[in-house]
Parts: sequence; C-alpha cells; structure tokens
Amino acid sequence: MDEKIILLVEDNPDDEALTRRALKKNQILNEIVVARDGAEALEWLFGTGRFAGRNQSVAPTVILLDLKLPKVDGLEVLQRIRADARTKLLPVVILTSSKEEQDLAQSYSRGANSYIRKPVDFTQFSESIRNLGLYWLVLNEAPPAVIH
Amino acid sequence: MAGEDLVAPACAPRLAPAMRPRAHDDRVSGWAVTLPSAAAAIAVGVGVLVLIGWGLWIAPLMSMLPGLVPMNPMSAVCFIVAGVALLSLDGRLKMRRIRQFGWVGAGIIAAVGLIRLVEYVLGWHLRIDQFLFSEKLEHVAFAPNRMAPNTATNFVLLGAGLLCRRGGHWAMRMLTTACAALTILSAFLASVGYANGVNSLYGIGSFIPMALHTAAVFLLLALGLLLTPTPASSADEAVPEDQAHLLTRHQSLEGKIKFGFGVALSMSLAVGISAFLSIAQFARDNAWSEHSRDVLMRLDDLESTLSGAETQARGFVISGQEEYVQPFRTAEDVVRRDFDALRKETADNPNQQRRLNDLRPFIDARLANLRSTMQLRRERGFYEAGHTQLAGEGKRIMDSFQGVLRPMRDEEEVLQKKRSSSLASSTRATFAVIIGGCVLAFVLVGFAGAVIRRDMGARARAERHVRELNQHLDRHAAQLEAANKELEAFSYAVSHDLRAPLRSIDGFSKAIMEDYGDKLDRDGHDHLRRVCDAADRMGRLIDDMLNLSRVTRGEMRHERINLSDIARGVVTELKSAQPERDAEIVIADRMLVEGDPRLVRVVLDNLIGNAWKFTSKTAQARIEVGTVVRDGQRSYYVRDNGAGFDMAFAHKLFGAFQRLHAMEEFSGTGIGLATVQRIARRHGGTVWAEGAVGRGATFSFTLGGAAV
Repeated sequence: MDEKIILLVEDNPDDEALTRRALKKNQILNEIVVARDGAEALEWLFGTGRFAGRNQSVAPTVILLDLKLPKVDGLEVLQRIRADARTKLLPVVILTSSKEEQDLAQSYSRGANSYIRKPVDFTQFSESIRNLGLYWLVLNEAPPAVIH
Repeated sequence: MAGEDLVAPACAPRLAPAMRPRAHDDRVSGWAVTLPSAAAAIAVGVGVLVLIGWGLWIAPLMSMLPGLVPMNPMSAVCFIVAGVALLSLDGRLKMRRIRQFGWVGAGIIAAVGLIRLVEYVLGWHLRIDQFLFSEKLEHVAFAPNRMAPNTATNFVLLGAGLLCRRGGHWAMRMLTTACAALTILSAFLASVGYANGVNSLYGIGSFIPMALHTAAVFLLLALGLLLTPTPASSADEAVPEDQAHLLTRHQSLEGKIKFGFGVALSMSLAVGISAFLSIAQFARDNAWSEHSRDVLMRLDDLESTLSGAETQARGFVISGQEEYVQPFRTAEDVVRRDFDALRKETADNPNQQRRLNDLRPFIDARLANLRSTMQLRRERGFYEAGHTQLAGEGKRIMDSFQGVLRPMRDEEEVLQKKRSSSLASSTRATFAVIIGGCVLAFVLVGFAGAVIRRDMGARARAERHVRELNQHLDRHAAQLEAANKELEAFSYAVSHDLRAPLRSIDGFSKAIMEDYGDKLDRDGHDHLRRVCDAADRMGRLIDDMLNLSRVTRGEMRHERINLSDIARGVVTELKSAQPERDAEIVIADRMLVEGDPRLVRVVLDNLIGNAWKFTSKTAQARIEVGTVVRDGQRSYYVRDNGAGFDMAFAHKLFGAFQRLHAMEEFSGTGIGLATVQRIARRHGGTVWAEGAVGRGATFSFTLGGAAV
C-alpha cells in the first residue's frame, strides 16, 4: 500500500478542524492521524500504550508537530523521534503559533525539517497548508523505510 | 586644577550613598587639614606683627628678645605670602581667588629667596631685602639688617615645596617632602643653636644670622607643608561608582604610605645631618679646649725645664763635678724645643706670638747667664762663680721672664675657660639635636602612621560598605532576573496561546462565509468581514507587542554595523512589497555605528517603514536617510515629505498604542515608535521627531556615545 499518512500532533480541536479544512480545500485527501498530545503521538509512533500492537510498518510521510502540547511538549516529541532508529529519518514540520527565537533555534537544533508559523488569517493559513502538502507529500522524496 | 577641586563638594549630595565613606574620611583627616592651616595663620600673624614692629619701632616685635637679630621686613612679607599660599592648599577653602593666589605666592617667595642668594653668591646689590624701612635697617642690633643666606635658602625651598605640592605626580610629592624636610632641618638647627648659644647653627660664617622667630616660623610652615593632605585629583572626584571610589582610596592610601616613608626617611636624614653638624661642632670646640690646655701645659713645661737647667747649673757650680754638665745641656735643648712648640701651637694667636717674641731674649739671656757662670766655675773656681750668682743677674732675668709668661698663661686660661664653656654648650646642643630630632621624627612618623592606620580603617569600612551595596545589588539583580523570567514566560504564553483563538475566529468566520454564504445577506457578510479584520488587527497587535517586549529582553550585542547597508535592505523589502510605489529614496553612504544589528534593523524597519507609509498619499514622495553632527553629538535621521504631524502631539509619538492618524487613513498599531525609543535607550541614545502637518516629518536618533 502506498497510502501517505499525515500525523498531525495538535491539542486544539479548532486548529485540527481548520487544518483538516485547509487540507480538504486544497484537495489533499491523504489519511490524517491526529494525536491530541505528545504522549499519544509517541505511543502511536512506537506502538506502545493505547496503540500497542499497531502495525509498525505503517509510518507517516510527514509529521505536523505543534510545540505547545499537554503532557509531553513538541520539542521533546521531536527529540524522541530523532533518538529512535525507527523514526529518526521521518520528516517533521513544526506547525505552531509562535515564532519566538528560542522555539526556532531549539526546533532546528533538535532536527526539525521545517518550521511554519500558523497565520491568524485563514486565507494565509490555507495557503501555507497547501504549499506544505504539495511540498512534503508530492515534491519531496520520502526517506527509505527503515527495516526492522 | 584648583578650580576643578571645587567641583567635588558640589557633587556630594547627588552621590549620597556612595559618598558616605568619603564623608567619614573627611572627618578622620580633619585635624591633618587644620594643622597646616593653623601654621599658615600663625605665619601670617607673625609676619604682620614684625612689620608693625618695624613701622612703629617696637623692638620686641622685631627681634623677640633683646640682643637678638631682628627679622628682616622682607622676610616678614615673605612669611605672610607663604602663609596665604599654604592656606590655599586647604581643600575646604571655597575662595577661588585665594586658591589661584597660592601659585603666585609660592613663586614670589621662591623668587625673593633666589634673588637674595644670587646677591650673596655673585656679590650683586639688588637690595631685594632693603625695600622696606631702608633707613631703619641700618640702626638696629646686628646692623645693617639683611635677609640671612640660610633664610633666603629656606624661602627658595619653601616656595619650591609649595609649588610642587600642587602637582599630582608622586615625584612632585617627594620633592615637596624633600624641600619641607630641608627647611625643617635648617630651622631646627637654628632653633637648637639659639637654645644652646651655638651661633654656628643659626648663622653662616660672618653673614648675618637667621632671626629666632624666623626659624620658628620656618619650622611651623615646613611642618604644615609636610602635613598638608595630598590634593585629590579631579578625575577621581568625577567618578561616583563605589569601585572607582575604592580605587581612589587605595591610591590615596598608597600615596600616604609613600608619603609616610618619605617623611621617615627625610627625618632620619635630617636628624643624621643635624647630629653630624653638631657633633662636628662639638669636636671642634673640644679640640680648641684641649689645645688651650696643651698650651698651658707647655708653658708650665717651659718654666720647669728652665728651672731644671738652673738646678743643673747650680749643682755644677757647687760641686764642680762634670756629671752636671750633660743634664744641663739636655735641659737647654728641651727648653728650646718647648719654645718652638709653643710658637707653633699659638700660631693662631698674634698676642701670644708677640709675647713669645718678648720671651725669647729672656730665655736666651738666662741660659747664656747660666753657661757663663758654669764657665767661671771651671776657670776661676767655686767662690768666683758663687759670687757672680749672688750678684742677682739671673734672678732679674727670671723675673722679667715670669713677667712675660704670666699674661701668656692668663690669656690662655681665659681662652680655655671660654672654650670649655662653648664646649659645654655644644655638648648640650648635640644632646638637644639628637634627642629633639628623634622626638620630632618619632612624632612625625607616628603622625603619618596614625593617618595611615585611620585611613586603612576608613578603607575597611568603605570596603564593607561596598560589599553591602554589592549584596544589595545582587539581591536586586536576582529579583530583576526573576521578573525577567516571568516576563519571558508571559510573552511565550502570549505568543502561543493568544493567537490560537484568533485563528479560530478568523478561520470559522471564513468557513461560514464560504459554506453558508448563500444564506447570509449583505449585512451578514459585512459583519463577518469586520470580525475577520478585527482578528487580523489583533494578530498584528500581538506581534508588535511581542516585538516591543523582545527588544528589552535578551543579551545585547555590540558590533560595528553599517547603517547605510541596513537602510538599503529595508528599502529593498518595502519596494518589493509594493512595486507600484514610486518614491525617491536617498541614503547616505558609510554610516557606521556600534550597536546590536538586530535591534538597529528594527529601528530602521520602523522609521523607514513609517516614512514609506506616510508618503503613500504624497505625489513625488521623497525619503532621506542621513546623519548630522550637532553639539558634538552625531545623530541619524529619516526624513520624509509625507503626511507629517502636529508638533503639539510630538510628546505622544513614542508612547505605546499612541496613534496620531485615524485607522482608515494609515494602518498601524502605534507600537513601532515606542519600540524604536526603547532600542535607542538601550543603546544609551535617544530619539526625537520634528514635523508639521502636510509637510513631512524627520525622526532622529542617537545610539549613545558609541556612534562613530
């Protein structure tokens, strides 16, 4: 199966709805897996906890990661993704509200592939999502799948 | 320099906390300040009294004790000048005139002394010391009254010392110490000389000696000069920080220790020289006294060997035995030798030489007489010789001999008496010099030690104070840091959480427009558009506020940056955002400043952005970025010919959320200029604006002293 999955790590249901809307509006109809916090995202990725026994061969093509998350925050999720051999090559796009210098610096230093600030204006937001989807799902060649 | 010293007390109230230790210090060294001033006042007083003495012919004022040399009126004038010059060194004095006179005064007395010395050395007659009361100078004890050479030397030393005292360099201070010490030495010797009647200590050769009160005033003035506190340099006073203050204290303490060593060394040198001089005098007096005793003994010897010769001759006459002849001859030789020795020993005394000339014939006659008697005994026998002896010729000669010898002995006895009494006084003087010098050195070194000790105490207190201040500062810094952390957390939260609801408002409003647009009438669409606009505006407001708070947070970098390049970068961005705009933009070349590149960029972003915005409705818009130096301060400006503003509201420009234009006219949040002001202030600079409605505006800023 060649289904390209998007993992959206987002705690705000409004933002989730807006992101889904923007993707749909731009004809990006890939499967979207939503994790409500950092812990859920990690469990899904590594097949632990609530997602124990999940088929590990199914990996997201791109991870859209918010920084401010309950339980485990985005930067730690990123760090854990990069620390694990199974996930360290996955493209991670930081999709967040702030563009504080410290957030930018820490995201890139922990291996984020991209950093996109969510604009307040939905038209701009939709445009960002369109570009993002086009780039990571169509243009970009995914890293080779890791063999376990 | 004198003027700058005056500045110090004036700034004291402003620096209240930091100055506290210094105020304390002033109290500690108070008596060190008072002592020199008291000496100066006494010098002025004595000078005035002596001049009154000359004017009204009051002998006690002129020479203190009858029979002593009066103080020269020019010396009295010099003392008044020197007193005022010394007084001018008193840091508490606020009279600028007196301070300036200090220089001149010191120069005057040094010059007078120098001229007088030149007169002595080269034999010129400038009569520098005969301007005043020139008639009376010829009619006093020790007339004609002149300034003594040692007095003139002391004035040169004192003047030089006063001049050097004003220099801050340590070599100058050492020179002052040396001058003062030499003056003290000379005055001290003179005083000891007066106290013990050793005139060689207060007069040089046959020149007129230094007056007693002259010596006393010199002693006082030189001591005063020695104890005058080191002048604080103006640079030290201008720095209010505690660290700098401590540094100053350290320097002054070091100075005082050096000064103390200087005093100790000078004093031991002075005592050494004094002791040497008075011991030399003692040795001379002793030699003379012994010499007189030698002469007296020699006179006795002469008499006794002559009578010894007589005895031998009589023995021969009575016994006729040849064994008496040889001792007689020996005695004859001894008599001659004694006589020659006497001649040599009294070579310095013409009276005695004359008497020896008188004596010689009697000795020769007596010896000849004895020899002829012995010859008679040998040729004509005992009776004949005895008869000749009895004729009394020998006795007559011997009486005449005694007649000459007695006054010689008398004179030598008088001399010996005089010399032993002078020996006694020089013994006393030697004791006085050594003991007095030791006491003086002890007192001075003790004084220096006390000053240093107190100073070190004050320094310890100042250090404690600085430590307390530092702890206080540390606490403040910790509080500030906590507040800063809180602010940072706050901005972080704002940055993330405040924007999310706006996104929902905007996003879902647009969703309604798109999904249910057909069910809304025109008003419904208009309302939703307003909701979206508001959300957008608030989004920008949040961003601007975050920028504003960001410029006051974080480390500041200090780099050499090219303002011209940054300005060009800003303009390029503006032009690419609105390529349709046609504006003339002039940017001066090579504007180099020192500052934080990111923050300076924010400044130009705002100022050029404003100019760009407010010229949007101006035909032939023109924006100029340049630099100008006014009152020695370099400033940079952004000038436009746009909408401008009313100067009456200029004070409102830089407040956050202050806007001078309606939203419909020009968009904006009113935070940009507040941000610019914060950045300028963070660089130690400032920002201001000039403008008129419809005629454009000029915004200028400085970046502290760092601007090149």
